[in-house]
Amino acid sequence: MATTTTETKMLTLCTSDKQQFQIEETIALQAVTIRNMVEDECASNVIPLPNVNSKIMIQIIEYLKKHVDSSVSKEDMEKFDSAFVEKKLSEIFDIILAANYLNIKNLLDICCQRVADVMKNKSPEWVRRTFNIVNDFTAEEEAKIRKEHEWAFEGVDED
Amino acid sequence: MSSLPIDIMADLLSRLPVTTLLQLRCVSKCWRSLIDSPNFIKMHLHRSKGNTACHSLVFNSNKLYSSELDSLNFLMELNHPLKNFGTTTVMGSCNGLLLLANKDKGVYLWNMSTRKHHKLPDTSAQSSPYPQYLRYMSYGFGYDSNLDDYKVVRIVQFYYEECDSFSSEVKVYSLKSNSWRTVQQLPYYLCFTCQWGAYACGALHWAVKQRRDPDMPILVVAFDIGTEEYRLLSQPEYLIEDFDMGLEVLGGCICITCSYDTNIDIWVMKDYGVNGSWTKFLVVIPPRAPIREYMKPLAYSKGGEEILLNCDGERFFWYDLALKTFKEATICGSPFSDYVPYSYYVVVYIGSLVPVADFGEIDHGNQHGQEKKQQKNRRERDDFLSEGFKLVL
Repeated sequence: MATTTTETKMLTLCTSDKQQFQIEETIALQAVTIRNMVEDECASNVIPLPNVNSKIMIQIIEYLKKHVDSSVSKEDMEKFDSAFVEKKLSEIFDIILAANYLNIKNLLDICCQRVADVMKNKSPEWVRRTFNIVNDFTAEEEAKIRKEHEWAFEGVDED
Repeated sequence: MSSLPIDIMADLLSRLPVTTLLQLRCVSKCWRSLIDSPNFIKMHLHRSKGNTACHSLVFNSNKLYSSELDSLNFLMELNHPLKNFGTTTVMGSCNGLLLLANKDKGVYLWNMSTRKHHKLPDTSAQSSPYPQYLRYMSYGFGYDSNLDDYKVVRIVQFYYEECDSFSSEVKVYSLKSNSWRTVQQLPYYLCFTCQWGAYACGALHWAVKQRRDPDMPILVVAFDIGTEEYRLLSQPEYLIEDFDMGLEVLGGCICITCSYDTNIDIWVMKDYGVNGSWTKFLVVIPPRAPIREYMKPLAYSKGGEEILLNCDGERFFWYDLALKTFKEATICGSPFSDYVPYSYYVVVYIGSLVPVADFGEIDHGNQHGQEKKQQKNRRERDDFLSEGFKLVL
């Protein structure tokens, strides 16, 4: 287990593109996956994170640094969070995948909420394009499903 | 772009309103089965319960209307399945389903969000065991989490004045079996039949008495939706006993409102079924005191700092819990702006995908039949009102 030491304990994280990040342990331990690795002592000096690239890691560290700071008011934290998720959806998707792997619940939550907010009132076509989904219904099948709740399609955003 | 795993997709989708989800059923086969799956429907419902943006109010007056809880700024007439058939009453709201009753057409379950409905089979009521009697009817509607079933409870009570005795027939309808069953009769006298069973923590609650005697204390009986047994609920330690009682539900907890001449106390049972967990949650001095008004607590605001109160079935107030101040909430587009109806009944509704079996359109009949029906409706509605809505004092 962790030894008692007066100096700030640092951890080294190694991303998929072999970049190393030296961060304070208290910041890194907010990620449950990292905490488990440290607690189980299965991590040596360098913690490998093969599912996260350096571009995403930089953003995640920015988030974790803010959230470890207990002097930040609830209101300021909410402001930070809403500014943090103002990114392109493709980037948010990558953060979601990383947050899911690293098990950072709050980060996953705000990113999922951000995507859901964008999805409200979007057409099925927009969703297919954005999420890279192939429509496996025949034209007849799709028409039938639309007919089941025809009224729901009134007022959908144009693409 | 990276594709997201299915459990994250389910998380994302569970944050969307029902209308969007109904559209997204045609994205792909995988999405349709996800959105239609019972587990997703439960996950979505669970999230919607905690998100006031998915909550609305349903107003029961001569017609039915709804308004979003957060904004309260747009009142919309509801296009419900019984719209063209005279007075329809909302008798319960649970997990996205409304229990509607109409004298002519019977009792319906309606999911307001998916616009699907289901007519409950008609069921006869036993005939009175007494030669001269008063007859009251009350309904309740709730969810049985053990069986994952929705149940409607109907109480028909007969009162025989001459020998001060009563008898009651209780039937339970289960949505899964689509049938009614007679259960053990209610051994108490219903105090107010204009009040539908208040659903909280897996039980329906009614204000009752041992006998029809104005001096007898009012009791709260709970009908457990799962075990279908009755039990009495403990009550708060009131300081003054002279009040008008109301049974309400706020944020999933059972509440008792006590209307005195100058104030209204609202008690909430924080740990359901635990004696002594009654907490005097609120003492409201009505803005128009001293009038013995009725204050119905409806819902918490988005951040939980305020609660919405419905005053005498007419006006709405946001009550700030910390500052103890009232702010009147006006509902725009209100059909009540031109006239004040006698009163209306409001329920909180949570949008959900919970399915009801849908057995097609209602028989709309021909034009001539329609007019006749309307006359008949009016006549029968009056009978229904005098029968089912009578306030027993």
